[in-house]
Amino acid sequence: MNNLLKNELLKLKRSKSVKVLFWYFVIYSILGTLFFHRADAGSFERSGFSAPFLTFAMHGSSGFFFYASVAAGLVANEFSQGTIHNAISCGVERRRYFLSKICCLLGVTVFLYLTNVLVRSLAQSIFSSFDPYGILYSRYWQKVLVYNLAAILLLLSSMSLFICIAYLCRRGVMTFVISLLATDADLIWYSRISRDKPVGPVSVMWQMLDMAGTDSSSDRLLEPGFLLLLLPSLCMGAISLIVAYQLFKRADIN
Amino acid sequence: MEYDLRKYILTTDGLSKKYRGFTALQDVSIHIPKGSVYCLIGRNGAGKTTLLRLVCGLQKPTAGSYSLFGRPYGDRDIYKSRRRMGTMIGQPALYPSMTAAENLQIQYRMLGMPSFRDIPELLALVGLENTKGLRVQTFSMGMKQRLGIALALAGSPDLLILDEPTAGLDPLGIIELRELLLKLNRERQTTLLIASHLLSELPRLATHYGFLEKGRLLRELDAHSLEEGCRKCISLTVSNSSAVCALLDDRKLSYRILSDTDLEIYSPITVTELVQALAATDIHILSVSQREEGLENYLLNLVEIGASGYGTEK
Repeated sequence: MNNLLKNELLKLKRSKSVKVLFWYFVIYSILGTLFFHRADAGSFERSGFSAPFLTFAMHGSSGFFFYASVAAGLVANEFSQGTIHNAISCGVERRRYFLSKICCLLGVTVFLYLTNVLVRSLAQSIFSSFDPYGILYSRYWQKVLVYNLAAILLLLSSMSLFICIAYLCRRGVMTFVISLLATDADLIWYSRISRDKPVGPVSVMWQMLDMAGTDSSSDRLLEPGFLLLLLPSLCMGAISLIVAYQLFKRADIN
Repeated sequence: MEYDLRKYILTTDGLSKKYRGFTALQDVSIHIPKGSVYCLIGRNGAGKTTLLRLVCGLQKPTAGSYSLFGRPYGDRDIYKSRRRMGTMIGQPALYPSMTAAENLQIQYRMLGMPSFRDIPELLALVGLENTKGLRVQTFSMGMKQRLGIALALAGSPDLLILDEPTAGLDPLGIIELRELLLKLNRERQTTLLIASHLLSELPRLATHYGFLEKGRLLRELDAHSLEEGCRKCISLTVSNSSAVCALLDDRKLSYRILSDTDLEIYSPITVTELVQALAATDIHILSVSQREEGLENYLLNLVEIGASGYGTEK
């Protein structure tokens, strides 16, 4: 299993999509802080919750669908370029191969998110200090921690869905397009149909942003009921991984 | 016919594969002896690649089974048998953004090999020793083919499965590959299973043949039996081949007209008898030679009678 993980890490290092996404987040975070550190706080400027913090969470999860390019590159392309044949033909068990890939893909998701958050907070502290504007929310750091953990879980759920789509499509471009459509469908549901009942990870993320608007609404982040908000997305992520595994385990590889 | 399965590194038993509305492989039973060079011959779409994919675990058979190094299909540990195989099916499967050495490192790790010391030697063996630092996406087709072969050779496999290994290679490359495969077979007793169209090269390599047509195994035999089974052929160049046909028809001899002046005669008639028969007519004989029917003609004849004659012979 160690060998398979090392292989996946080498593939990640060589992956163009991971490199592009990494630099996109770094540059976007720096530029965002430089030019928009006050402007994008918007109505949250006085809250003390947002400026150094909202922006990490929001921008850390920005472009959910960009993560699909990683799934496309590291899963779907293995089928289209045939490299999966080598693995199966030389006796690598499908279960282990799948596990090593999932571990690396979910790991790189967390890595990219944390990169975004850390670069942002570093840039923030260099350009405009790290102190929150206005009045600090109660239990500020607990809320920051819960918010970011929830954002990571939602991202992982999204990534699981993208991985499932990649195993289904087995083509990089198709994976990216379908993942983008799925993300958009979730957003449309939230913005046009039901703001009270977010379904997918993206819509839950936007509802979390709404919660962060005031001190009193942000208390909901620390309530047990907050977990119920995450539950559908987490279930979707788990089911996606199970389906992806079954697709990989049972299907013929052409 | 009873087969002693201990002699065989790979056997298939009634292996079939159906896709929606299409039967790619039907009831194929092959037997690959240890240490042999087994050549799978058939035209495009005959089922060669499908058979290889089934054996490599890339696809699941619709019916039948196979046994690899004594482990039957369905055995939970069959992946351990596959570790003793090296394969190249279809186009070489390579990571384009990596170098040749890195592609081999990936393969070595998948095989669980602890050290990469052999990689430079393996690259030299396939003629890629001067590709350090070059990414695979810059390789020519021939170079990619060579790297694919190197990947198959990683780990010194006991069974090497190659699908059209000469595709993309220049004539010298084909000769080098042939010599390499022969060397592996003779020195390391590596068993080879090769699917190929290159009929001119196979007789120099093969110890056993399997002929596939439309998903069925027409015949399976060793090289010696093939040699005996190939018909003797008299090549004749005359002034007028159509005049000769009447004579041959009278004598109920089997023949093929190649042109206005050239014929091939297959029936068991000696050169002396033929020349004496022609001497009695006005037909001028320009040249006569005797040879054995090659693999190409054997295959053509087999395919022609294949619809009614499926079976195995050893």
